[in-house]
Amino acid sequence: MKRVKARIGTSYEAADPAFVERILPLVDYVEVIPDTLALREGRRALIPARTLRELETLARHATLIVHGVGLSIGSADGWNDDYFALFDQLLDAVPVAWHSEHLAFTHVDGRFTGTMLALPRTQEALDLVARRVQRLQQRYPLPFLLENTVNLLPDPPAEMSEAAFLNHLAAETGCGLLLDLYNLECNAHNQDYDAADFLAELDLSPVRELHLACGTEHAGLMLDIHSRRTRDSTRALLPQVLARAPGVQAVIYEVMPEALPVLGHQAWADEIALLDTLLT
Amino acid sequence: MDLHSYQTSLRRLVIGAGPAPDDPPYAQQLTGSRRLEVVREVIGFWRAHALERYCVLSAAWLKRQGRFESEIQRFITAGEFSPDIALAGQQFLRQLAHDGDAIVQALARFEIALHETRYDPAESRTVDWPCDPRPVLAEILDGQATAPREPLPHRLTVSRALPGGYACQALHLPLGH
Repeated sequence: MKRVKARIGTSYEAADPAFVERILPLVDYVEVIPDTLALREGRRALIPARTLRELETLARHATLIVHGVGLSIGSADGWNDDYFALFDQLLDAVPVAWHSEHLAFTHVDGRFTGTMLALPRTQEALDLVARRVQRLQQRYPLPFLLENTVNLLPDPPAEMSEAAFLNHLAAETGCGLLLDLYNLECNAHNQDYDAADFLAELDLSPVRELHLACGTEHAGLMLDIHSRRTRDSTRALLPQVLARAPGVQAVIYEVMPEALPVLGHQAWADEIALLDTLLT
Repeated sequence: MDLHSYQTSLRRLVIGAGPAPDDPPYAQQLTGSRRLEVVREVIGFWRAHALERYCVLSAAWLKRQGRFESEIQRFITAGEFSPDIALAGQQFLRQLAHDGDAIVQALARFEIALHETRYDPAESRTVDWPCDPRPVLAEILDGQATAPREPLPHRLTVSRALPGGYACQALHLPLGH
C-alpha cells in the first residue's frame, strides 16, 4: 500500500469568527458534526443557511470531513433516520471528502440513551453493523469510516476482541477506520488492557483518520470529553501508529466549543502546531 | 443474549429506570455498580448543561430551590428525552408545567410561551400565576431573595408585540382584602 502524507485538522462547530482567523490557517482538514450544526424548525432539524454559507467559505481553505454522533449505527431496532436529512443537506452544499460514525448505539426503540453505549462484540452485532455499512456505502459514493468508542461500563459480552471486531468489519465491508488514540487510551485504562496489544492486533491498513483529544478522569475512569490539550502518552502513540498505518490522511485534534472559554484559542492553535510537527 | 434485549436492558439501567427481572446476566451485574453510576452522572451532566441553556428561567429557579439536579434525574428516568437541545428543552418544560409547585408550574408555562411566540409578533399566550410574577423574575435575574410572595393571582400576556415581550396584570385581590 502506497503511503500517503498525513495532514493536520481539527473539529469545528461553526459560528466562531476566531476560528476562521486563528485556527483555519493552520489546518488542512476541518471536521464537522452535522448534529451540532443543526437547529430545530418545528419537527425538523435543519442546518441553517448561514452555517452552510460559512462551511462553503471554509471549504475553499480546507478539506471538509463529516463526523456523525447521532446515526446509532448499532441499534438493533433500526438506525436514526433523522441523521440522513442533515447529512444530505451538507452534501448538497459543500464538498465532503469522507464521513464517519462511532461504533456504538445511542437509541433503543427510537428513544435516546443519553450517551453512546458500546456494542457487545457478538456475531449478531457484527452482521448488523456490516449490513448498515454496506447500505451507507450504496447510498453515498464517499468513503465511510467507523470509529472505536470509549466504554465506561465493564466490557460487554464478547465473542471476539475489540480489534478483531474492527478488523472483521473493515474486511467484510471495505469501510475505513477512524482510530481515536485518546479513546484507545481511555479504554486501555478503563478496561485494564494494554494499548500496544490492541494496536498489535488491529489491522492498521484501513485507518484513514486519527483522532487525538484529552478529557478528564472521574471516579477512576477516563472520560471522553474533548476539553484539554493532549497528554504526552496520547501524542506518543501518534508516530507509532503513523509508522504502521500508511493510509492515514488526516490527524484531527478534537475540541468541544464548551471547553474554549477555559482552554482558549491560543492553546487550540498551539496544540495543532505541536501535533503538526509530529506528522513529518 | 440477543442484541435488542441487551440494548433495552442497558438503556433502562443507564437512564436510572431500574433493573427488570428478565435482565440478562450482564445487566444484572451492572445494577448498583459504581461504573453505572458514573455513566448516569455523565448523562445527567450533559442534559443539565443543555437544559440550563434552553430553559434559562426555570433552570435558574430550580437551582435556587435546590431542585435542579433532582428534576433533571426525574426527566432522564422518565425516558422521553431527545438529543436535540430544543426538543429536550420543550420536553423538560412540559414536565415542569405539571409540577406540584404552582410557581414552578407557572414559570415553565411562561417559558414555553416565550419560546412559542419568539418569532411571530402575531402570536400571544396567557399564563396565570398564583402570585405577582415580577418579584420571582427579578429574583432569578438579580440572584437576590425577595420578600415572601403573597397569594395574589396574576396573568401574564406573552407576545413579541408587547414592549419587553410580556405584560402583567393582577386578576383580583385575595380573600380578606
